[in-house]
Amino acid sequence: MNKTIFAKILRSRSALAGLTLVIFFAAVAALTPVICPPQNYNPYQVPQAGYNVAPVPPNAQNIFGTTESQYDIFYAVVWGARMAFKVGISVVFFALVLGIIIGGTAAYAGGWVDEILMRITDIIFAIPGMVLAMVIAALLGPEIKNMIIALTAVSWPSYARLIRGDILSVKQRDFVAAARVYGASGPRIFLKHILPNSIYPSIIVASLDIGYIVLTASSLSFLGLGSPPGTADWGQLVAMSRNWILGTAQNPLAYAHAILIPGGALFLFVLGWNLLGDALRDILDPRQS
Amino acid sequence: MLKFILRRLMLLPLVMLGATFLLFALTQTLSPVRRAALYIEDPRQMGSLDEVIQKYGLNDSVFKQYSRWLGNAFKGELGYSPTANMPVADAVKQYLPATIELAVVTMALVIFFGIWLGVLAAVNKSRWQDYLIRLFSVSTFSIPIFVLGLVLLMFFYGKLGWFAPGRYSFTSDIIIHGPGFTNYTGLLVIDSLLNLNFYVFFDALRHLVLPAITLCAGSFALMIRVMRSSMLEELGKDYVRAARAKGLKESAVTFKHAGKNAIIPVITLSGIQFVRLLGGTVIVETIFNFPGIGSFGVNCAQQLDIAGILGFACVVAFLFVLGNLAADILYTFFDPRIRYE
Amino acid sequence: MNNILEIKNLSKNYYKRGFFRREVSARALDGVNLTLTRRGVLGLVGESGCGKTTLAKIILGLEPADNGEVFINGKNIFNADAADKKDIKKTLSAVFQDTYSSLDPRMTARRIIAEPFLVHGVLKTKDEIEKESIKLLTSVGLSKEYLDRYPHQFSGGQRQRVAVARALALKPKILIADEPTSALDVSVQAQVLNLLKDIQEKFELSILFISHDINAARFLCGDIAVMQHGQIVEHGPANSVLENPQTQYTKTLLAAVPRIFSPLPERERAG
Repeated sequence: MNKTIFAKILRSRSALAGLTLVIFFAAVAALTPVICPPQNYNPYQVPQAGYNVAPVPPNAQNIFGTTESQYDIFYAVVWGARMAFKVGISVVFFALVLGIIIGGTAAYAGGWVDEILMRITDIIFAIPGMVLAMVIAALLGPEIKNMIIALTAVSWPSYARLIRGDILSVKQRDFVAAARVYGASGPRIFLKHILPNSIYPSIIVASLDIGYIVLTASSLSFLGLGSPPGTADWGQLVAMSRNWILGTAQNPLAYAHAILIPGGALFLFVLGWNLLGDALRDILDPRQS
Repeated sequence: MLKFILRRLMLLPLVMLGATFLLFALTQTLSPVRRAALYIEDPRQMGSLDEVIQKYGLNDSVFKQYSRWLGNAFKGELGYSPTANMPVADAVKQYLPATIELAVVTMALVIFFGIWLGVLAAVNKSRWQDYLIRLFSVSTFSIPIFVLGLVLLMFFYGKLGWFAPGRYSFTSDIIIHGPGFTNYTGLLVIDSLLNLNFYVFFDALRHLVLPAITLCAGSFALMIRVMRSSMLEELGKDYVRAARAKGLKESAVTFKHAGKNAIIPVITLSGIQFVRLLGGTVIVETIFNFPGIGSFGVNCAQQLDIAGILGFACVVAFLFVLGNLAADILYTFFDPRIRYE
Repeated sequence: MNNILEIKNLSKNYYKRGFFRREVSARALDGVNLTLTRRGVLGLVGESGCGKTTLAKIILGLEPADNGEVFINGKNIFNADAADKKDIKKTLSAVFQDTYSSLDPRMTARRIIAEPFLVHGVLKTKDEIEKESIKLLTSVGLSKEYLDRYPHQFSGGQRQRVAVARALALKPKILIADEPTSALDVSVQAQVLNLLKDIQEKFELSILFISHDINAARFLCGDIAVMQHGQIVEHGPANSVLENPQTQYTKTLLAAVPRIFSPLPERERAG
């Protein structure tokens, strides 16, 4: 089955493009220390090439140029890729774990436990994700760790619901009844039969959310509520260019590189995940083509 | 169906209670000093923070404090926002119409172009138009709205000087706040027409162009996809073939027959999309200095203005929940296949 | 005590959750009395939706009953203590209709058959379990090469054999077979019926065979009970029920059945 999905990805042009982009960024993230040796104690702290405020266009020394306060864009974009994976994977991982525990508990226990847990997800769904993440991030302060907490807090409910639904449908299958007949205990049935048969769809859905999560994380950073100043983070790089959209009197687009390069990196990253996700959804759900 | 709507209506206050409690409890992670701002109506009171903490029991349990906050909220008192320099309730009243105006204009664009491109893609299924539209929709879906907004601003404001940020020009500002201009709804586009002031009307529209286009981007993809697939489904049905067999022109078949039915899912979807825009307004309003509830929220968050954050988040959550409910009702109303038990 | 399974006045309703009170939405079982003799095979026939499966689920402890009693070896399963419950679990076993659904798709046949041993801790070492599993597999007509296959690598009939092997693992006394052949191809149905007949003799089983297929019941069962709307309308030796039906319902059922007398024995079919 997995073989055919992979074959279909290779056959679909857009999926292939998405996969290529994702692999490219993954490679950059994996090789970051080789491409750009860290220059500070904290490698995510972007080095500054001087004390001038205005961005400098690409040149021999800074191949992508510098942004406000002479932060080197190349360094920031490359380490930003690593940061994107770090944030995306952490959030997906923690949100999935929470989702599995809470959704699993709800489905397994049923009754009032289920009712309470699902009403809690209702409550979180009642606040737009971006707004809730913003509130949490603002209260906790601008730090990567806090950004991950904020994004996890808004992401887990949808996984919990998904997993709950899948578990409830697996629970109906006859092999669960068979296990009860020969006397397997509730926890054993849950761990050995129900869980392994219900979490995989959610894991796939969640991993395809990495693009979206990184996008939201960047939005937080853009608003100054995500990463601390000077961090290699695409959203923050774009935010730094905000004061320079007007360019100079001679050349209105003099500082375009400061927006376009980090913005382009973020765009391609998210595009890659979305292309891949779209294609996978089409493949897994053949009704729409 | 009636039962389902009733149940949802009964749940609504409970969900709101839960959501406001959650938000309130989150703010409790901050020290009482910061929270004292909630109860300060006038910046001159700032000196007596300890008294305020004592007086309003900011060291009490969360539940006690929450019920007090809720009581005040019912009276329309949401505390004082130093960021906006006015009580939160007033700030909401002032900023909300701008956001609604922006969202409505955006939604009109999304619906119009979404339907048009969706039909175009469906009619030309698997031809280059279809692929181009798919590429367009996945691109707009992937482009971060703050990047799009800045690029648009750089080009159309920085380079061409066509569209400036903000909600209105300096001239309009003088007219609006001058004598003879009555503020009926807070929606500038409507108020200017009611005042028969076309300068302000066109100025307001002009300031909406870039924010609306930016805000559109994230919503296009779903709209186009749903329109396309629902159109394809309708085009495959017998009555469409019958219409063709009758010798009707292809355009008549597409728009009069299939289009009429295919549009139903889009109507219901637009309800949900409208509500989702609320999250996006936060960023768009910040980029374009558009004085709506979203940029108010961001400013409060950046300044850690607790009263402002809380008021902003609760208002947005309330609109969100109401909007979702409306969308669900729309859904059951328009799509007889859906039954909620 | 010749009856291994006795069902007395069993009733069960399904409820719809109303706004203020529960409403009865279906009367699944309505005062059912049934007995299964030791080493007997009782066929329970009736249209789908008549309550057959609900009865099976209640006997297997998968669903509670509203009223009535179920005795296994003279013990009421509804108020058994823990030790008795464990005994009952070992005495009872089940085979279901949907072979896709009845085997865990993520386990090999080896794991599937070994699970009952592991749950009850009856066999300690890996070797013992493997030896016993192979024995079970052979007794349902599969060779040991099949041990490491996953359910989707089997045919429907083979999956049902694996399910039977699992059911036999704990040396049960009663097998509840709920439509074990209805999801299978006609050609395979006969094989599975033959298998059930085989193991009934070899393992000295009592079988409650639930089916809407009267021909299958005729082939396998000594006694037949006919169920309609949650009630047993006829109950007696297979011959007398089928040859001389007393109720209109049984007559209608019989009239709807194509007259094929019994499935062909496996050897002839293969030849």
